[in-house]
Amino acid sequence: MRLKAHKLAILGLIILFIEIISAIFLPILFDLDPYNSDPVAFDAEPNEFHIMGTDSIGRDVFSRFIYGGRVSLLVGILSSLISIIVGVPLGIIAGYYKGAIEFIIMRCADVFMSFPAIVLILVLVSVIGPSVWTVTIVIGILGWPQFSRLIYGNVLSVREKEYIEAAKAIGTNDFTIITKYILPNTFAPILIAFTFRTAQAIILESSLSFLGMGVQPPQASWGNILYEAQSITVLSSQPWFWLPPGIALILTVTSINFFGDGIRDALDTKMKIVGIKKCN
Amino acid sequence: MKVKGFSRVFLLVTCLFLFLTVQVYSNGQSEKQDLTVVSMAIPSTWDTLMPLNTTSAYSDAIFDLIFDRLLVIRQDGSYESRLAEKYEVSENSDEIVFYLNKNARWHDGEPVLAEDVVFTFQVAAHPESQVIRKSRMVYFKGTDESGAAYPDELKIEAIDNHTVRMKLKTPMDPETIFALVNRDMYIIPKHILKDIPMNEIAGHEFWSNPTVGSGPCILSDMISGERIEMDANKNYHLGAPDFDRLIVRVVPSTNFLAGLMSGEIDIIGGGNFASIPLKDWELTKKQDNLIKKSLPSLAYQYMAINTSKDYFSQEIRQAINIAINRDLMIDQLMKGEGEAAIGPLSQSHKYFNNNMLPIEYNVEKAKEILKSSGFDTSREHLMLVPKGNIIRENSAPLLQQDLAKIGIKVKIQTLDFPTLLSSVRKGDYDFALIGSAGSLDPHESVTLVTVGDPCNFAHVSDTTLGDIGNRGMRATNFTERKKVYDEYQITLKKQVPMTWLYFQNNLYAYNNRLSNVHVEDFFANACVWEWEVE
Amino acid sequence: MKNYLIKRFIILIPTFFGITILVYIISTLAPGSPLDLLLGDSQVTAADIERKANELGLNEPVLIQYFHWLSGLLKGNFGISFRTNTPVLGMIMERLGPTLLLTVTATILSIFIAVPLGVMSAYKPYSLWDYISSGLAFIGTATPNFFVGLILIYIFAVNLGILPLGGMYDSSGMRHVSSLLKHLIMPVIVFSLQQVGSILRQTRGSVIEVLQEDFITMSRAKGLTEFEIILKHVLRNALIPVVTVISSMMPYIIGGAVVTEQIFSWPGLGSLMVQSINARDYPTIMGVATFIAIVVLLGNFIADLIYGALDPKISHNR
Repeated sequence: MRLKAHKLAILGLIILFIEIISAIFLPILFDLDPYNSDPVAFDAEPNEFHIMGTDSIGRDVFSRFIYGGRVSLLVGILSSLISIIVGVPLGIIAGYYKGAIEFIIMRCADVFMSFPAIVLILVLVSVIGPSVWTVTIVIGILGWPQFSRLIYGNVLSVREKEYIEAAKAIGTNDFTIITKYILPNTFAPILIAFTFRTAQAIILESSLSFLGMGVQPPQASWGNILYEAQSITVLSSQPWFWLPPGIALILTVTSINFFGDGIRDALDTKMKIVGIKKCN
Repeated sequence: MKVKGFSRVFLLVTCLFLFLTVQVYSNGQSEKQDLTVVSMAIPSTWDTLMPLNTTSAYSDAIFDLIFDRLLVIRQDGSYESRLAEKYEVSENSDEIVFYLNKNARWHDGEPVLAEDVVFTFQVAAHPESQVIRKSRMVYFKGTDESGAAYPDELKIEAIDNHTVRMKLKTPMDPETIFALVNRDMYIIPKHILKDIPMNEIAGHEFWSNPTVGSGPCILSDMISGERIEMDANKNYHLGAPDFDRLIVRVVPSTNFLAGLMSGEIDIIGGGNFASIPLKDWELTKKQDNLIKKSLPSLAYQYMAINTSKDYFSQEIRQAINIAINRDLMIDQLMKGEGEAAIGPLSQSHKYFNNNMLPIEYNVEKAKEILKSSGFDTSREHLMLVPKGNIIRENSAPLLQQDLAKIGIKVKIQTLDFPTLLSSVRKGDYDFALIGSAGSLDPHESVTLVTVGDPCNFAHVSDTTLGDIGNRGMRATNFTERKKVYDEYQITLKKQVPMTWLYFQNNLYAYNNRLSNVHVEDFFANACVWEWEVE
Repeated sequence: MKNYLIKRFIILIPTFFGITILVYIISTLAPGSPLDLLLGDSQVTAADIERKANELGLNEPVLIQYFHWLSGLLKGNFGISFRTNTPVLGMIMERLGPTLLLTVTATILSIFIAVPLGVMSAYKPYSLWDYISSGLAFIGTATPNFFVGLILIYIFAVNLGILPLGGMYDSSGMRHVSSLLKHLIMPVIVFSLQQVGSILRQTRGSVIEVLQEDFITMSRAKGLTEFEIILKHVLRNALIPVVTVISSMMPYIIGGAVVTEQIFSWPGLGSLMVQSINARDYPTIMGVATFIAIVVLLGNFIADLIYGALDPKISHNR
């Protein structure tokens, strides 16, 4: 199983790598333009100028597909980074200092986790106004409880160790203790949680964009391309339009999951990562 | 054993759940009933069923079925009897008398009387009733400038059991009243509502299940946000409908065609906003079991220009007007199903000024005008585009390109409609794409160009247009009004506070088991009693 | 046990207040107001708008509005919707039934599918069976549910025409159970994908672990049949993490059906949420969000009860 998982993890990594390289370089290589319309070709089928056809106002679907990939990947990765930046310090403070601050932080985490993620994000995005950045920041900020709880548990188990006691005894200040001893222990779980959270964030962003409350046209994202697929005409007669983004989403998220599982198996066998929840 | 106990509880809960589901969610009618059922789809849910307290077109679609207006509104601008058999207008056009159909009855058997009509208007006007449609009352004598009046002030009275006299503040063309007031006034039952205090009437629980109306359908059942089921009113005074039950279902417009094809829905209702999406029209045309109609619409789309910005002089605005490739928009975006707009009235409108020339498309001339006026071509302008209308959203990049060709750089920002309106009102924009449902009454667009009006989106500061419009309101018959509004349209074309873009056709389809369906009137009423159903 | 329950209950209270404060803060950030929609109608006058603003209490300071709202909430008054002029709680109750019908059915179904599959996979690891169910689990958690919805609609509703496009019943005017079931199939499948995946993986994982324990070998030595072992020991130990997974899905079950309800026009809380957001109907948005969070809070409390009952170690050690 380890070996099989190892292979799947490598496969996932390769696919992700290809996706990222394509997202960065294909637009430059092929001079892709997802925004301007081709005035002679509205709703065109795939042809030699537009390998995936054009949409209802003449924009090249292939370009939108690749640019959409950029957006979806960026939102996924950046928002998870934001979650780490917000959640990890809070988790460390709660776990290290305990007492009242621990109570407050953990109750705040409870509050946030009482809402279905999509509901809270929808409410926030609708109030602030949807855009790529709103969506990234909101998904990012609302991801903090997962990381906080994870790190909190992690810190709790480490802080009782003898070398921490010793360090405190010789008068090392808190900041040094945290950065030198506690933080390194968190790298592994953070990395694993990061990969899974990225996958979650990608699904969240695409769901939001599908509802029309995420990335707004004319900007493309895989989710908002699929928004147009709700018409029977697109569904039945333009499969080149909607199948690629959907399959790309599945492929991306699956690869991230495989990769995450692989790292998890490799990096730790003892620690149960109970704190990660796959919510929607 | 813990697990056994747990599984037992789990199974018990599951069975209980299933049992409750069946009880609550099915109505156990097992006998096959041979009823003629028609199903109508609307794209979004109604908000309230109190006819005076909403502006939602989807609520209107339902009111049209369970309540009655005084008159039927036809697309060509003519008015026919509905609750009122006939009407008379006084010589100086400041009084209208309605004679009600003596056979009209409420669904509980009581006759519809003049006092019901009077009561409806009194509720609308009453200062404490807080209903949205109060502003419609502003034309009647006795109301203040917001349309409010107490019953004893309001000059609307029942002369006898079936005659209602309405006095107007000033003499005006009665067709304005029919188009604007009659359109929004559905008559409500006095004998049921008369004892409710005015400040409670709008939110009263009667409206959560209004089974007493006077319309061609009687409310029977509903699932909030999903469907309303109605029985045909066999005693309807204009003739019993040809069906037994009518089901109105909420179906997203993207599913209209699929629903029509599979037979799940028979017809689409909901006024201007309920059309088959353009993308599906090609496929719709191929369906043999459907009757398809692409109909011109009163609704228009325009691009407001912020005239408070000094770089948008009248000359520049006229240049912008001729730089827009409307034909490309119609052909490409709407696949030909639309009409280029010269002004707010379409060519089939009664008041359309036939002497106006179409707006030319002349990019070179426009470029010249810009160059010679010293327009700063390096400046970037902000175009606000509201969400919710795909064609309009898709027109923005085309407009952006048209403007770029003559040297005006534009950045597009897509917002939701309320936020857009507030930015526009503040003047934080250069161009804004806005639409309107239009009206049979030619005065409808005047609020957009009247100084001081909340709908003066273009920040017009010249009172000329508003003055012309007001003259039109004071004219009392068609001939006089036509002259004024002809002048209005010409002046609009000259001043260009907004460039009118297009009228998009309404794309209707319905199952061919229905006939005698006047879909062209659907912007106002469905007239279901006229339908013939197989 | 009693102390455990009391302790869990006490934690509920600050969380409850936290929820109301969070929801309220968010709503005050809103740029538009319901008045703006009225303003779009060219026939509405400025006096109308002022009147409506006063009626809705929009001219009072924010903090006062919060306390009005909170005190009403505690009495069960979730406000009056701007859009429909009816009490928000009433609207929520109308829509709660359909949502629960969808989500509870989906959850029960996923338990019935995922637990046995998980147990079987754990018994035959690396077999074809295991790969199929693990594959299913992966796809379930990796596929955005709206994409599956689109595919199902395309295959079954558009092409084959055997399943309906949306709504709760057909257009015959009769509300037969058979019609309801037909309309439930696709939404339930789409909604449960996420859950089947998680429950399956969790079950498989915990069962594998349990099977490695000594007492299992001993039970086999004692002569118990495999089936008895499953019932007596495996399930009991495996179910605890499964209950954890299900209880962590509580928010999803109460309020997470937003996308599913949108695709299939299912008149539940999720579609109410989307409609209210589009209409800028803040009382309803706030009311629905608060309602969902409170129900989740209570649901977690109940799950803790079950958890404590299943595993005495937890209730005794707290």
